[in-house]
Amino acid sequence: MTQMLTVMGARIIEILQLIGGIALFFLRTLRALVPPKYDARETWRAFYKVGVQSYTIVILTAMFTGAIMVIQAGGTIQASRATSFVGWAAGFTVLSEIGPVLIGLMFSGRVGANNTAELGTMVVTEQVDALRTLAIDPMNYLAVPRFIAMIVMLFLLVALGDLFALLGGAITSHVMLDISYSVFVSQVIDAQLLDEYILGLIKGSLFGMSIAIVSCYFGFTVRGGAPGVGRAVNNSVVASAIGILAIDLLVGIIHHAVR
Amino acid sequence: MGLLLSRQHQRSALLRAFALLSQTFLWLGRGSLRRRRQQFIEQLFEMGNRSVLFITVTLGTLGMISVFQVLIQVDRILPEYSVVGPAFLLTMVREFAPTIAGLMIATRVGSGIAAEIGSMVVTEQVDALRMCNAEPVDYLVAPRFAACLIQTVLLTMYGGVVSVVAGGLVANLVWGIPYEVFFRVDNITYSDFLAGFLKCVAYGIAIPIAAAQAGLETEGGSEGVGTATTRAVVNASFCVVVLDFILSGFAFFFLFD
Amino acid sequence: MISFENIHKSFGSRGVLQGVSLSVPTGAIRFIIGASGAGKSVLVKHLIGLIRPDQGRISLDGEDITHLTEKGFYTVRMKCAMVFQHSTLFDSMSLIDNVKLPLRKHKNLTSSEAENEAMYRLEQVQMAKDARRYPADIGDGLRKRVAIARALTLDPKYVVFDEPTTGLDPLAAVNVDQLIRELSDEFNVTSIVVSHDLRSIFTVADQIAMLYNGQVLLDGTPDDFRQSDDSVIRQFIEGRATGPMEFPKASRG
Repeated sequence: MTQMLTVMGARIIEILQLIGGIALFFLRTLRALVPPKYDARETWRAFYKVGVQSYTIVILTAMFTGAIMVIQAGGTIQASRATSFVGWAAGFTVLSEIGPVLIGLMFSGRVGANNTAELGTMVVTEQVDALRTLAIDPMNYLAVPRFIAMIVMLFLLVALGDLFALLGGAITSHVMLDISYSVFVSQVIDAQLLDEYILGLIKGSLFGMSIAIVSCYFGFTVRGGAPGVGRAVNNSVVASAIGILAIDLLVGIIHHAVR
Repeated sequence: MGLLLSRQHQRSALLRAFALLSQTFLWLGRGSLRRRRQQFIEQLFEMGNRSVLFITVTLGTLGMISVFQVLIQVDRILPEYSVVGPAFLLTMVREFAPTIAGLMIATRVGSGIAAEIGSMVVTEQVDALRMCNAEPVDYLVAPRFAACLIQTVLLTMYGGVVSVVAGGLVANLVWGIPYEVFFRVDNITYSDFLAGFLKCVAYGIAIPIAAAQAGLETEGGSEGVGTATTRAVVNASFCVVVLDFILSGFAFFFLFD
Repeated sequence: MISFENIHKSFGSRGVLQGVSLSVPTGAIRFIIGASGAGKSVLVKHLIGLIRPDQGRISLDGEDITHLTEKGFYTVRMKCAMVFQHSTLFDSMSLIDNVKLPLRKHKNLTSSEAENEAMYRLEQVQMAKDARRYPADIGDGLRKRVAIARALTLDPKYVVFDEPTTGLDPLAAVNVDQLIRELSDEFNVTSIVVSHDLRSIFTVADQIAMLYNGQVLLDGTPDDFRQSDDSVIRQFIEGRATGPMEFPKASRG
């Protein structure tokens, strides 16, 4: 019993230390944002890499998500013959909730994990120390460009992915529920989901921010060679997933409270 | 990254995955687990142990988010709470509990499998295994596969319960819906459970195969392990999404009327 | 003029440096030698703030730099460049971009000026023809030359070489030794070389300090070493496996 408590206590302290470390890292990143002296080349490279790495997986995921939401809503809706509801139901859940979350999770698996691996490798092979010896601040040079790129790109990817999710939903409603494309589109437009769309975009940017912070933090703190890099990637995606769901809940609550 | 490669590469990656799957079944049929019982139990314990807290946090949050969002909408349209609980339970059983749990297991367990096997490939431990006539699939993949399949089913059931309880707590404490109104299961049929169960079995098969494949195909030094881990997370997660789509369609046409 | 005074540094319970004092006069080629794990790399990394001492004092050109902040060390690092043991070029950049990076960050040059300057640096080490290739595509010896070119871009007064010839083939090693000699003779650059390569020790060094058991065992000229009858030094120079020197298990260089 005492042993179990000791183990649990150690685990809790470990988690609190981790949260503290990530919070501190977040503040350091914000501090490095001013004055705005970003390395244009590295920032551009980060944008390019983040975009190229993730857009296929995001678009595919989004289309499947839209389709799955229509299938799930389909059963209930067919039973109650309320087919005019499909556009609203699918549009609402996809735009405000499941779209940004699934896109965020995929983005974290693709871009976040890759970023941790890249930075971790740079730490293990002393490339980060080499930057420091050239009097270049790794926070400024490596973390800030990735931070900016991930926020902007996840915003754009959610904006784009939402449209593909609706497309996937429209195709599925047409095939399964026999609702024509024009009817589906007019249903989505009638549902007036601009609020939800904007909410989803805000969530996307916040997810991008948390993925950037978490993946850079785990990358910079890698210890112990190649196995260390693997472990860090594992921890990074896990922490990002928790971050995404926690932010989703918080934004939902704040949004409700404000309205 | 399979998805970004040419179509031909894509097809062969899928083919290789099926080859690995059939090899794994072959070795399991030849009694791999009996010989590697120790390893199998270690993996079973390790996977469960490492994921339980993570699943509790993420699926609990998911339950709260879902109920919260639905109740806000219900408040806006018609304040009629009696349908919320059953509808929530139904979507949890059919869709969200298996799929979100599957994504989380792909993240946690899948990346772990790839990191472990990848590190062994890079440090030439896998070659060393081959040198002493130990087949990597028999020795490394089969125990992990069986452990991951079992744990996916168990963790999904556990996660489903956690999310439902968390949702019920939000409904009761924030909106004051009595538990007996919220937890009504009379509209959930066996086919709903079957649909959810099929999904988690399918994810349990796909995740370790996608992850082990990424691990075994690790190339290069320390950046190789990172890349393999990344590929495992993405491929396993994407498998979950695609299987979700296929099985949801299957259930729609064949299980529900 | 660089001086280390009474430096102590432990990692966990292992006291790697236990009161090391030595100085490096301007313009000299100063070798720091010793067996693997004797703390040579640890000592020189103190100079540019990659490792901080537990105790002791480090000064550079008469200024105490022991307790500088990370930002404060940036000015030190502009004066003291470092060439890492594994060259440590940035994998994601071509060779010329590697050399260009410090120029872009620290000198107000237009992009064509930076290009020319970087090309000139690569020519100095006979690597201009490979400028557009990537670190993964060239051999260890060539990577080392590019790393030296990159270290020299900011015209440092001091250059730290961490085992510059370890792992190179004999021809490439001679080449690197010549480069170090030229830097000293032509540009009056002070070099601090961490090494256990006997051939370069006796062909290039002006002054040698040998670390043993966390302390300086002997500090002198190559001739002092040749004539020394200390049994540890004899064992090191003659490369015998048996003798008083015990080899530490850990491999921190």
